[in-house]
Amino acid sequence: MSDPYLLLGITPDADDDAVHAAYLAAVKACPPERDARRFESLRAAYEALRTRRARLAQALFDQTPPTLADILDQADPVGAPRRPDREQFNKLLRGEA
Amino acid sequence: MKKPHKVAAAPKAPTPDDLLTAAQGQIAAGRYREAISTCKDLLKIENRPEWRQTLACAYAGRARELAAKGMTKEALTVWENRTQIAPELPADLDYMTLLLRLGRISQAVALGALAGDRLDPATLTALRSQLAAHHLAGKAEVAAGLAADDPILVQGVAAAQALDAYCAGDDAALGAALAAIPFRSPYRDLAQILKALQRPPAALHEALELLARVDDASGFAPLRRTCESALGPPQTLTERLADAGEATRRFAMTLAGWGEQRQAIWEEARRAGNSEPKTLLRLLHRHRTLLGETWARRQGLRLLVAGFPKSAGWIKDSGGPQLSAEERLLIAAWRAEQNERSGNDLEAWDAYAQHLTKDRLPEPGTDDALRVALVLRRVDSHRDLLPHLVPDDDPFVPTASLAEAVESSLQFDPDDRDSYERLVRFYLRGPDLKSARRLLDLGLARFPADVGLLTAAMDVALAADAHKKAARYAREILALDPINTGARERLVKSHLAHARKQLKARRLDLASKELEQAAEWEPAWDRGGRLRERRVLLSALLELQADAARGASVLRAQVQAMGGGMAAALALALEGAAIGRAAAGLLKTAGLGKAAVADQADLTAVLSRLRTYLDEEAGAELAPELRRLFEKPLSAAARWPLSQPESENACETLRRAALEQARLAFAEAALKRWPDVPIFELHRFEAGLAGRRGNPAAREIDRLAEAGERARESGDQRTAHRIGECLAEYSPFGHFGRSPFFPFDDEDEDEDEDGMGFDPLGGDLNDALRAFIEVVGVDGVLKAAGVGAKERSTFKDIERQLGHETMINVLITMLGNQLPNLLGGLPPGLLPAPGPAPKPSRPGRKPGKTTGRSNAPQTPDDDDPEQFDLF
Repeated sequence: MSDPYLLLGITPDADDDAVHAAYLAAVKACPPERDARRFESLRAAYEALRTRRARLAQALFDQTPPTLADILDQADPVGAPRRPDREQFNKLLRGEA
Repeated sequence: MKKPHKVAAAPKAPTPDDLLTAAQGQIAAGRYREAISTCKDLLKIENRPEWRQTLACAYAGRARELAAKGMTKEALTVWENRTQIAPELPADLDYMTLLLRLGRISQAVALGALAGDRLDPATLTALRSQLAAHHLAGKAEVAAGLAADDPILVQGVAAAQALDAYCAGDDAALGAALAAIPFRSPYRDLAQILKALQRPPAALHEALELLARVDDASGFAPLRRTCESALGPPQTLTERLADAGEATRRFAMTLAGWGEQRQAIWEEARRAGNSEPKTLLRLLHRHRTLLGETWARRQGLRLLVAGFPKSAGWIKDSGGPQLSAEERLLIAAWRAEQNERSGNDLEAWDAYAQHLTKDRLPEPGTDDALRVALVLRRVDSHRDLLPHLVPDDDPFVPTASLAEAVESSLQFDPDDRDSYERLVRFYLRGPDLKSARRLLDLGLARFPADVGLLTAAMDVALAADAHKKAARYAREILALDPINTGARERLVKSHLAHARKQLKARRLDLASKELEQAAEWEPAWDRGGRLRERRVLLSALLELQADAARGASVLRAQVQAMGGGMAAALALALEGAAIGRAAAGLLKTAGLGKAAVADQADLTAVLSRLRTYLDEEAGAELAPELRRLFEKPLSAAARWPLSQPESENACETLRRAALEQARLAFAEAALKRWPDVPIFELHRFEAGLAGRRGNPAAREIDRLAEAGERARESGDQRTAHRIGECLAEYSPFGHFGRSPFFPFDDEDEDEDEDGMGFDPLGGDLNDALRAFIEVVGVDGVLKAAGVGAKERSTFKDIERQLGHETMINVLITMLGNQLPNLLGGLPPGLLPAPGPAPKPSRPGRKPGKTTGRSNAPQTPDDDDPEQFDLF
């Protein structure tokens, strides 16, 4: 995921406090000792959005093209595991691929 | 008479044993079609039951092969053939599985019942689990073919309840239903799967262990495999589902937490078959409402950068509106930034900034103003240019425009302190003190207590010899940051410098005051007491000016306290020179008139003091008077046994001080101890030439060239490079540019592998020049070029060594770029017929100095010197 807003789970109108709070929550949920790479990404996202100046610069200068994953995350982020319905089970039980 | 043709003997028909062996081999090798054919041949001989079973085995193999390829109907036909050829064999599990897959449930149930006890327990278990799965999925034919008390039907009730409870999220009901399913139930695998799905995400390992208990032949195996895909790493979920069918994908994505919209967009991208920018642009446009119009548009712009400007039309192709002028300028700036080598980024961002301000200038403090400021300083902040540039120093970087853009940014964002400091430091390097002060005034007005800006202000004051002002800034810095050692040292130095200034002007009271202030701020850490030493020497010099007799006594006492050797003499001479006192007289007064290096420690100290002086007075040479005074005693000190690194340092320090005689002495002493060390060869060569008229002898050049080769071979590239530079300067070809014999010329290696650099001007001109040299003669050409007699004799030596032909080639190579000037200096009538224009300069060669943003091509003459300057 390349979009720092998506990574921190905040909207583009987030202010300094919202960015800070989102970063702390994200780090709490995924501390560096559990997933160092994700922590690095979170840190980079935080730095990119930490101040108003940084957020404006991010919007102006970030040239990273979006990936399909970015578009999917923006449209409908992955949530908690969901339970398939009975019909979905039945299809697999009937041997449908 | 022709011999009659021999009639070939008819091939011997294979025996049944041969055919059977062949069929069994083909089956073992997986060549089922051949095996079927062979078995049929065998059965034509005799319809033996064991041969029919061999054919049935081949049919089974072929049927599985076809089913694996997805040719289910063909596979079913082959299975039916197998049943016909060997009805005594029980139905195969794969056959019954295929029947179930094709919806021929009743037939599968019937075959299973028919096979009954003849099936091995594992096959029977697998078959019953498949029937159980279909029964659970609502296939009524299963129930119709089974006895009412069959466990598939009896326990199917609990299994269905468990499944419903799981789907409804009712874990209590799920637990109760699972408890009602016995261990040996045909629904046992379903129970394992549901238990696995109940595990929390943190217990992933446990869940996978439960899933692993479900056998591949089980009717619940497809469910198990899908669950395993869903529970794997989320980042690679789509990769794992790449070949899966829709039912599997939907199930796995749902289980992995994918919402309906996410699944739908992914399915749409999947149908497109790629994630190319055009596909993503279409998705962004189609789902812009869900994604957010602004977000979707901005991401779309980023997809256009790589292919811009050709890609500009893609956004319209995807259904979106055409690019606006602002969007075009932004993408062009991104593109220019990505292609830094184009050097257009400054121009591109400037164009974007101009567009942002074309209608009105935004108010400082607003987002619009900040945006303009960020754009204006983008090139500097992105490439970190200003700290490495000197105003108008590099013709390839439009420094003035860059600095202008950063300065303009402050109009929109005056609170960016870094920009003030970067600009002040940039102008200070010029030095353009006027501009530096202008920026300082602006910066300090906003950030009066900023240590960085105050330090820059102090440096500007020092650069302008405004010591009082510098001291004031230093005090301000120390008031804010009392442990700022750099500022404290600068302040002391500033007071000392100011004291020198006053002493020079014979204002002794003011000088005394400055020295008192220097003493007040002397840092405790002053290692070796160098600052203190200088202050005390200046005090002694002040005394000397005030009262010669008393001052001389103080001075003698002081230099004795400093050891009384050459180091003390140098310290005194340097301070004396700084206030305009003749060093010789001062040293005599101080009792150091005939000072010599006392010992090795004194030598180390004097070199260290000299080095410090050269470091602090960057670019300054030792005054000629001091050189005269110290050259001899330092040369004599070369006898002290220094280590190799110390000797290298000594030579380098003496080079910087232009004490060439001493440098030569140290280099020769070092070469006696460490013969052939390239760096000392270089010092000996350079120091030996200093002050000597004319060029070095050929043997000296050879020796240095060999040293350069040794340096290169030993990996000492720095010394090799220095020797190369030196050879280029001192070689007889120096004024023509690099010698074609020059062994270290990396730049031309690509173009001129053989080193002769021949055919530099193109065929026709080459020939014309050759004819011209033949007519005028080598000596005549050199004379016309103004080469002196001595140098011409060097060329003659070379000609004798290499031959006349090679000499001509060498001359043609060297004269390449000089030709127009050379020809201009010749008498009329000797000019060759005009040929094609000389080749343009190669890419990478620096063009004439340019400033600003002009990209206009240089004229060919821009690089050429005004005159043909040889020696």
